[in-house]
Amino acid sequence: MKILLINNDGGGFADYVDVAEGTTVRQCFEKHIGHGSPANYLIRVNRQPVPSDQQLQEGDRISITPTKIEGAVLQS
Amino acid sequence: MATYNRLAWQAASAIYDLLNDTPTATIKLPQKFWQEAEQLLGKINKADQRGWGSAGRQLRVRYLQSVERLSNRISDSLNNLKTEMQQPFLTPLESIYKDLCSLTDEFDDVEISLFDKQIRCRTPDIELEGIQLGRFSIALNWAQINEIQPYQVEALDPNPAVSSDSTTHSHIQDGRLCEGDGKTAIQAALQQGRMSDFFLLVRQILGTYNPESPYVSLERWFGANCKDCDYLMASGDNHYCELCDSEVCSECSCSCQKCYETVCNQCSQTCEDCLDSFCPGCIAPCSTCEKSYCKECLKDETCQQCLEKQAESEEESCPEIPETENCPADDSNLAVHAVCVGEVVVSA
Repeated sequence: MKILLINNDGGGFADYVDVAEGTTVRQCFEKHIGHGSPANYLIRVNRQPVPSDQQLQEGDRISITPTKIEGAVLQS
Repeated sequence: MATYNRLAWQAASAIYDLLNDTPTATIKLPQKFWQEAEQLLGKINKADQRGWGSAGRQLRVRYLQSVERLSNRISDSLNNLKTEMQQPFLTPLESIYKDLCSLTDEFDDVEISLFDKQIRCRTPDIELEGIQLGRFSIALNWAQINEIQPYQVEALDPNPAVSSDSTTHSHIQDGRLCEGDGKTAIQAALQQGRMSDFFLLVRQILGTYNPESPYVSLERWFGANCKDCDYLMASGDNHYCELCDSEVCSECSCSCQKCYETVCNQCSQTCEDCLDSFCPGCIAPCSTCEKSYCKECLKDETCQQCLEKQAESEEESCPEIPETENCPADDSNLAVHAVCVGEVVVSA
Protein backbone atom coordinates (compact mmCIF):
# COMPACT_ATOMS: atom_id res chain seq x y z
CA MET A 1 0.00 0.00 0.00
CA LYS A 2 1.08 3.60 -0.57
CA ILE A 3 1.54 6.20 2.10
CA LEU A 4 2.89 9.74 1.96
CA LEU A 5 6.16 9.91 3.89
CA ILE A 6 7.51 13.30 4.93
CA ASN A 7 10.97 13.22 6.44
CA ASN A 8 11.86 16.65 7.77
CA ASP A 9 15.28 15.46 8.94
CA GLY A 10 17.87 17.03 6.67
CA GLY A 11 16.61 18.05 3.26
CA GLY A 12 12.87 17.65 3.86
CA PHE A 13 11.95 14.67 1.71
CA ALA A 14 8.29 14.13 0.83
CA ASP A 15 7.05 11.38 -1.44
CA TYR A 16 4.75 8.43 -1.71
CA VAL A 17 6.32 5.16 -0.63
CA ASP A 18 5.16 1.56 -0.60
CA VAL A 19 4.82 -0.15 2.76
CA ALA A 20 3.58 -3.60 3.63
CA GLU A 21 0.13 -4.05 5.08
CA GLY A 22 0.20 -3.92 8.85
CA THR A 23 3.38 -1.80 9.05
CA THR A 24 3.47 0.09 12.32
CA VAL A 25 4.66 3.66 12.82
CA ARG A 26 7.81 2.38 14.55
CA GLN A 27 8.61 -0.05 11.73
CA CYS A 28 8.16 2.72 9.18
CA PHE A 29 10.42 5.00 11.22
CA GLU A 30 13.12 2.33 11.52
CA LYS A 31 13.00 1.56 7.83
CA HIS A 32 13.07 5.12 6.54
CA ILE A 33 15.00 7.03 9.20
CA GLY A 34 17.25 4.24 10.35
CA HIS A 35 19.21 6.16 12.92
CA GLY A 36 18.25 7.77 16.20
CA SER A 37 15.41 7.15 18.56
CA PRO A 38 11.76 7.86 17.73
CA ALA A 39 11.71 9.87 20.97
CA ASN A 40 13.87 12.47 19.25
CA TYR A 41 11.26 13.07 16.58
CA LEU A 42 7.77 14.47 16.36
CA ILE A 43 5.89 11.78 14.50
CA ARG A 44 2.48 12.64 13.17
CA VAL A 45 0.10 10.48 11.19
CA ASN A 46 -2.50 12.50 9.36
CA ARG A 47 -1.27 15.49 11.41
CA GLN A 48 -2.01 13.85 14.74
CA PRO A 49 0.34 12.35 17.35
CA VAL A 50 0.01 8.57 17.40
CA PRO A 51 1.34 5.64 19.42
CA SER A 52 4.35 3.89 17.90
CA ASP A 53 2.47 0.62 17.47
CA GLN A 54 -0.31 2.12 15.39
CA GLN A 55 -0.65 0.41 12.04
CA LEU A 56 -0.47 2.57 8.97
CA GLN A 57 -3.34 2.62 6.52
CA GLU A 58 -3.44 3.11 2.77
CA GLY A 59 -3.09 6.83 1.95
CA ASP A 60 -1.85 7.82 5.40
CA ARG A 61 0.37 10.86 5.67
CA ILE A 62 3.23 10.31 8.10
CA SER A 63 5.54 13.19 8.94
CA ILE A 64 8.74 12.85 10.93
CA THR A 65 10.33 16.03 12.30
CA PRO A 66 13.37 16.17 14.60
CA THR A 67 12.64 17.67 18.00
CA LYS A 68 16.00 19.47 17.94
CA ILE A 69 17.03 21.45 14.88
CA GLU A 70 20.02 23.69 15.26
CA GLY A 71 19.82 27.21 13.92
CA ALA A 72 23.00 28.96 12.92
CA VAL A 73 24.29 32.35 11.86
CA LEU A 74 26.40 30.99 9.04
CA GLN A 75 24.44 29.27 6.37
CA SER A 76 25.67 27.35 3.41
CA MET B 1 -17.20 15.66 11.64
CA ALA B 2 -14.77 18.56 11.43
CA THR B 3 -16.35 21.96 10.96
CA TYR B 4 -15.65 23.86 7.80
CA ASN B 5 -13.22 26.71 8.30
CA ARG B 6 -13.92 29.23 5.56
CA LEU B 7 -10.92 31.42 6.38
CA ALA B 8 -8.53 28.48 6.27
CA TRP B 9 -10.00 27.34 2.95
CA GLN B 10 -9.57 30.80 1.40
CA ALA B 11 -5.98 31.01 2.64
CA ALA B 12 -5.25 27.48 1.40
CA SER B 13 -6.71 28.34 -2.01
CA ALA B 14 -4.54 31.46 -2.25
CA ILE B 15 -1.42 29.49 -1.29
CA TYR B 16 -2.27 26.69 -3.72
CA ASP B 17 -2.75 29.19 -6.56
CA LEU B 18 0.55 30.91 -5.81
CA LEU B 19 2.46 27.64 -5.72
CA ASN B 20 0.91 26.54 -9.01
CA ASP B 21 1.46 29.88 -10.62
CA THR B 22 5.18 29.52 -11.23
CA PRO B 23 5.90 31.43 -14.43
CA THR B 24 7.06 29.33 -17.37
CA ALA B 25 9.82 30.60 -19.60
CA THR B 26 9.08 31.15 -23.28
CA ILE B 27 10.71 28.45 -25.37
CA LYS B 28 12.85 29.94 -28.13
CA LEU B 29 15.24 28.39 -30.61
CA PRO B 30 18.57 30.25 -30.91
CA GLN B 31 17.83 31.38 -34.47
CA LYS B 32 20.06 34.45 -34.29
CA PHE B 33 23.09 32.27 -33.53
CA TRP B 34 22.08 29.73 -36.19
CA GLN B 35 21.89 32.51 -38.80
CA GLU B 36 25.24 33.90 -37.73
CA ALA B 37 26.84 30.46 -38.19
CA GLU B 38 25.12 30.02 -41.55
CA GLN B 39 26.43 33.36 -42.82
CA LEU B 40 29.97 32.48 -41.76
CA LEU B 41 29.72 29.11 -43.47
CA GLY B 42 28.67 30.85 -46.70
CA LYS B 43 31.66 33.18 -46.47
CA ILE B 44 34.03 30.23 -45.90
CA ASN B 45 32.72 28.48 -49.01
CA LYS B 46 33.14 31.68 -51.02
CA ALA B 47 36.70 32.19 -49.74
CA ASP B 48 37.57 28.57 -50.60
CA GLN B 49 36.14 28.88 -54.11
CA ARG B 50 38.21 31.99 -54.78
CA GLY B 51 41.34 30.57 -53.24
CA TRP B 52 41.60 33.11 -50.41
CA GLY B 53 43.49 30.86 -48.01
CA SER B 54 44.22 33.40 -45.27
CA ALA B 55 40.64 34.74 -45.20
CA GLY B 56 39.34 31.18 -45.17
CA ARG B 57 41.44 30.30 -42.11
CA GLN B 58 40.29 33.41 -40.19
CA LEU B 59 36.68 32.71 -41.08
CA ARG B 60 37.01 29.14 -39.83
CA VAL B 61 38.15 30.44 -36.40
CA ARG B 62 35.12 32.73 -36.27
CA TYR B 63 32.86 29.91 -37.43
CA LEU B 64 34.15 27.65 -34.66
CA GLN B 65 33.40 30.32 -32.05
CA SER B 66 29.98 30.91 -33.54
CA VAL B 67 29.07 27.21 -33.47
CA GLU B 68 30.26 26.97 -29.86
CA ARG B 69 27.94 29.86 -28.93
CA LEU B 70 25.10 28.14 -30.76
CA SER B 71 25.82 24.87 -28.97
CA ASN B 72 25.87 26.61 -25.57
CA ARG B 73 22.54 28.29 -26.28
CA ILE B 74 20.97 24.97 -27.23
CA SER B 75 22.36 23.34 -24.04
CA ASP B 76 21.02 26.18 -21.89
CA SER B 77 17.66 25.96 -23.55
CA LEU B 78 17.57 22.19 -23.04
CA ASN B 79 18.51 22.48 -19.35
CA ASN B 80 15.90 25.17 -18.71
CA LEU B 81 13.25 23.04 -20.33
CA LYS B 82 14.25 19.97 -18.29
CA THR B 83 14.15 21.96 -15.02
CA GLU B 84 10.78 23.40 -15.94
CA MET B 85 9.38 20.00 -16.74
CA GLN B 86 10.46 18.44 -13.45
CA GLN B 87 7.21 18.35 -11.53
CA PRO B 88 7.93 18.98 -7.84
CA PHE B 89 5.86 17.27 -5.20
CA LEU B 90 3.00 19.65 -4.57
CA THR B 91 0.49 19.27 -1.80
CA PRO B 92 -3.13 19.17 -3.02
CA LEU B 93 -5.39 22.05 -2.04
CA GLU B 94 -7.33 19.87 0.39
CA SER B 95 -4.13 18.91 2.13
CA ILE B 96 -3.03 22.55 2.49
CA TYR B 97 -6.43 23.25 4.01
CA LYS B 98 -6.07 20.34 6.45
CA ASP B 99 -2.59 21.59 7.33
CA LEU B 100 -3.96 25.00 8.22
CA CYS B 101 -6.78 23.49 10.25
CA SER B 102 -4.36 21.26 12.15
CA LEU B 103 -2.19 24.19 13.25
CA THR B 104 -4.50 24.79 16.20
CA ASP B 105 -3.52 21.33 17.51
CA GLU B 106 0.14 22.31 17.55
CA PHE B 107 0.09 25.98 18.53
CA ASP B 108 -1.54 27.97 21.31
CA ASP B 109 -2.84 30.62 18.98
CA VAL B 110 -3.31 30.63 15.21
CA GLU B 111 -4.45 33.63 13.24
CA ILE B 112 -5.18 33.78 9.51
CA SER B 113 -5.45 37.22 7.96
CA LEU B 114 -6.66 37.43 4.38
CA PHE B 115 -6.05 41.18 4.44
CA ASP B 116 -2.36 40.85 5.40
CA LYS B 117 -2.03 37.52 3.55
CA GLN B 118 -0.49 36.15 6.72
CA ILE B 119 -0.74 33.08 8.91
CA ARG B 120 0.53 33.73 12.41
CA CYS B 121 1.22 31.01 14.95
CA ARG B 122 2.17 31.70 18.53
CA THR B 123 4.62 29.42 20.26
CA PRO B 124 4.50 28.62 23.97
CA ASP B 125 7.11 30.18 26.25
CA ILE B 126 10.57 29.26 25.09
CA GLU B 127 13.33 28.71 27.60
CA LEU B 128 16.86 27.91 26.52
CA GLU B 129 19.63 27.03 28.99
CA GLY B 130 17.55 28.48 31.82
CA ILE B 131 16.93 31.80 30.07
CA GLN B 132 13.32 32.77 29.45
CA LEU B 133 12.95 34.13 25.94
CA GLY B 134 9.16 34.30 26.05
CA ARG B 135 6.65 33.49 23.34
CA PHE B 136 7.25 34.03 19.65
CA SER B 137 4.94 34.74 16.76
CA ILE B 138 5.82 33.01 13.48
CA ALA B 139 4.21 35.06 10.73
CA LEU B 140 4.18 33.58 7.24
CA ASN B 141 3.43 36.03 4.46
CA TRP B 142 2.01 33.71 1.84
CA ALA B 143 2.08 36.38 -0.87
CA GLN B 144 5.87 35.92 -0.79
CA ILE B 145 5.82 32.14 -0.52
CA ASN B 146 7.92 31.71 -3.67
CA GLU B 147 10.60 34.05 -2.29
CA ILE B 148 13.42 33.41 0.15
CA GLN B 149 12.38 33.35 3.82
CA PRO B 150 8.85 34.73 3.44
CA TYR B 151 8.29 34.84 7.19
CA GLN B 152 9.23 36.78 10.30
CA VAL B 153 9.66 35.59 13.86
CA GLU B 154 8.71 38.20 16.41
CA ALA B 155 9.25 37.99 20.14
CA LEU B 156 5.98 38.64 21.94
CA ASP B 157 7.59 39.03 25.37
CA PRO B 158 11.01 40.21 24.25
CA ASN B 159 13.95 39.50 26.48
CA PRO B 160 16.73 40.52 24.10
CA ALA B 161 20.42 40.09 24.68
CA VAL B 162 21.89 42.98 26.64
CA SER B 163 24.47 43.51 23.92
CA SER B 164 21.93 43.61 21.07
CA ASP B 165 18.33 44.84 21.31
CA SER B 166 17.47 43.24 17.96
CA THR B 167 18.58 39.77 19.09
CA THR B 168 15.52 38.31 20.79
CA HIS B 169 16.67 34.70 20.44
CA SER B 170 20.14 33.26 20.01
CA HIS B 171 19.23 32.53 16.37
CA ILE B 172 17.01 35.53 15.58
CA GLN B 173 18.07 39.02 14.67
CA ASP B 174 15.70 41.74 13.45
CA GLY B 175 12.91 39.17 13.21
CA ARG B 176 14.91 36.96 10.86
CA LEU B 177 15.59 33.37 11.88
CA CYS B 178 18.90 31.83 10.95
CA GLU B 179 17.59 28.44 9.97
CA GLY B 180 20.87 26.50 10.11
CA ASP B 181 20.21 22.76 9.81
CA GLY B 182 16.53 23.43 9.09
CA LYS B 183 17.11 25.62 6.04
CA THR B 184 16.60 23.02 3.32
CA ALA B 185 13.68 21.33 5.05
CA ILE B 186 11.93 24.69 5.55
CA GLN B 187 12.43 25.64 1.92
CA ALA B 188 11.08 22.27 0.78
CA ALA B 189 8.05 22.53 3.08
CA LEU B 190 7.21 25.99 1.74
CA GLN B 191 7.77 25.10 -1.91
CA GLN B 192 5.59 22.02 -1.54
CA GLY B 193 2.86 23.80 0.39
CA ARG B 194 3.32 21.73 3.55
CA MET B 195 2.22 24.44 5.95
CA SER B 196 2.10 22.41 9.15
CA ASP B 197 5.64 21.10 8.51
CA PHE B 198 6.89 24.63 7.93
CA PHE B 199 5.51 25.93 11.24
CA LEU B 200 6.68 22.83 13.12
CA LEU B 201 10.21 23.15 11.73
CA VAL B 202 10.47 26.80 12.76
CA ARG B 203 9.11 25.99 16.21
CA GLN B 204 11.63 23.20 16.69
CA ILE B 205 14.51 25.52 15.72
CA LEU B 206 13.25 28.08 18.23
CA GLY B 207 13.33 25.40 20.91
CA THR B 208 16.91 24.39 20.15
CA TYR B 209 20.10 26.15 21.12
CA ASN B 210 23.19 25.79 18.95
CA PRO B 211 26.14 27.11 20.99
CA GLU B 212 28.40 26.81 17.95
CA SER B 213 26.83 29.62 15.97
CA PRO B 214 24.51 31.99 17.84
CA TYR B 215 24.09 35.71 17.19
CA VAL B 216 24.66 36.15 20.90
CA SER B 217 25.59 33.17 23.03
CA LEU B 218 23.31 32.44 25.97
CA GLU B 219 26.33 32.62 28.26
CA ARG B 220 26.57 36.30 27.40
CA TRP B 221 22.86 36.97 27.13
CA PHE B 222 22.90 39.35 30.05
CA GLY B 223 25.96 41.13 28.80
CA ALA B 224 29.66 40.77 29.08
CA ASN B 225 32.04 42.35 31.51
CA CYS B 226 34.88 44.48 30.23
CA LYS B 227 38.10 42.53 30.65
CA ASP B 228 39.96 45.61 31.85
CA CYS B 229 37.55 47.42 34.17
CA ASP B 230 34.81 44.78 34.71
CA TYR B 231 32.10 47.20 33.55
CA LEU B 232 28.90 45.44 32.31
CA MET B 233 28.78 46.44 28.67
CA ALA B 234 25.54 47.21 26.86
CA SER B 235 24.66 47.21 23.18
CA GLY B 236 27.34 48.80 21.00
CA ASP B 237 29.70 49.43 23.87
CA ASN B 238 31.83 46.34 23.38
CA HIS B 239 34.98 46.22 21.32
CA TYR B 240 37.30 43.36 20.53
CA CYS B 241 41.04 43.88 20.77
CA GLU B 242 42.49 42.77 17.45
CA LEU B 243 45.61 41.53 19.17
CA CYS B 244 44.51 39.58 22.23
CA ASP B 245 40.81 39.21 21.22
CA SER B 246 39.62 40.31 24.66
CA GLU B 247 36.33 42.16 24.89
CA VAL B 248 36.61 45.60 26.37
CA CYS B 249 34.42 48.67 26.79
CA SER B 250 34.83 51.94 24.89
CA GLU B 251 36.80 53.45 27.76
CA CYS B 252 39.25 50.57 27.79
CA SER B 253 39.86 50.36 24.05
CA CYS B 254 41.46 52.68 21.57
CA SER B 255 42.16 52.93 17.90
CA CYS B 256 45.79 52.98 16.77
CA GLN B 257 46.50 56.45 15.44
CA LYS B 258 48.53 55.02 12.58
CA CYS B 259 46.72 51.88 11.30
CA TYR B 260 43.36 52.34 13.11
CA GLU B 261 43.41 48.81 14.52
CA THR B 262 41.29 48.46 17.68
CA VAL B 263 43.39 47.50 20.66
CA CYS B 264 42.71 47.22 24.37
CA ASN B 265 44.54 49.38 26.86
CA GLN B 266 46.72 46.42 27.82
CA CYS B 267 47.94 45.94 24.26
CA SER B 268 48.16 49.61 23.24
CA GLN B 269 51.28 51.68 23.79
CA THR B 270 51.62 55.43 24.18
CA CYS B 271 54.19 57.45 22.30
CA GLU B 272 56.41 59.27 24.81
CA ASP B 273 56.51 62.30 22.59
CA CYS B 274 53.09 62.93 21.01
CA LEU B 275 51.26 60.93 23.74
CA ASP B 276 48.92 59.29 21.18
CA SER B 277 48.03 55.59 21.48
CA PHE B 278 49.31 53.03 19.00
CA CYS B 279 49.26 49.30 18.43
CA PRO B 280 52.60 47.54 19.03
CA GLY B 281 53.21 47.30 15.29
CA CYS B 282 53.18 51.06 14.84
CA ILE B 283 55.44 51.94 17.75
CA ALA B 284 59.15 51.24 18.24
CA PRO B 285 61.78 51.77 20.93
CA CYS B 286 64.31 54.56 20.59
CA SER B 287 67.68 52.98 19.80
CA THR B 288 69.31 55.07 22.54
CA CYS B 289 66.89 55.45 25.46
CA GLU B 290 64.67 52.45 24.52
CA LYS B 291 61.50 54.34 25.37
CA SER B 292 58.49 53.82 23.05
CA TYR B 293 57.83 56.27 20.27
CA CYS B 294 55.59 56.25 17.23
CA LYS B 295 57.34 56.11 13.89
CA GLU B 296 56.50 59.75 13.21
CA CYS B 297 58.35 60.82 16.33
CA LEU B 298 61.49 58.78 15.60
CA LYS B 299 64.27 59.92 13.29
CA ASP B 300 66.82 57.30 12.31
CA GLU B 301 65.34 55.10 15.08
CA THR B 302 66.18 57.77 17.63
CA CYS B 303 63.82 60.04 19.49
CA GLN B 304 64.01 63.80 19.33
CA GLN B 305 65.26 64.11 22.92
CA CYS B 306 68.13 61.69 22.34
CA LEU B 307 69.04 63.42 19.10
CA GLU B 308 69.19 66.74 20.93
CA LYS B 309 71.30 65.22 23.70
CA GLN B 310 73.71 63.76 21.17
CA ALA B 311 74.04 67.07 19.44
CA GLU B 312 74.72 68.80 22.75
CA SER B 313 77.36 66.27 23.79
CA GLU B 314 79.06 66.57 20.41
CA GLU B 315 79.20 70.30 20.80
CA GLU B 316 80.66 69.93 24.28
CA SER B 317 83.39 67.50 23.18
CA CYS B 318 84.30 69.60 20.15
CA PRO B 319 84.45 73.27 21.34
CA GLU B 320 84.15 75.81 18.64
CA ILE B 321 87.49 76.99 17.40
CA PRO B 322 88.39 79.76 14.99
CA GLU B 323 88.06 78.86 11.34
CA THR B 324 91.77 79.44 10.67
CA GLU B 325 92.67 76.66 13.12
CA ASN B 326 90.41 74.08 11.51
CA CYS B 327 91.90 70.85 10.28
CA PRO B 328 93.54 71.47 6.93
CA ALA B 329 92.50 68.43 4.97
CA ASP B 330 95.36 68.54 2.53
CA ASP B 331 98.16 69.29 4.95
CA SER B 332 100.64 66.58 3.88
CA ASN B 333 103.12 67.59 6.57
CA LEU B 334 100.93 66.25 9.33
CA ALA B 335 101.34 62.59 10.21
CA VAL B 336 97.96 62.19 11.94
CA HIS B 337 94.81 63.57 10.48
CA ALA B 338 91.82 64.54 12.47
CA VAL B 339 88.79 62.55 11.58
CA CYS B 340 86.31 64.99 12.94
CA VAL B 341 85.68 68.49 11.89
CA GLY B 342 86.64 70.81 14.69
CA GLU B 343 89.28 68.55 16.27
CA VAL B 344 92.79 69.78 16.52
CA VAL B 345 95.48 68.04 14.59
CA VAL B 346 98.31 66.70 16.72
CA SER B 347 101.68 66.30 15.14
CA ALA B 348 103.37 62.93 15.33
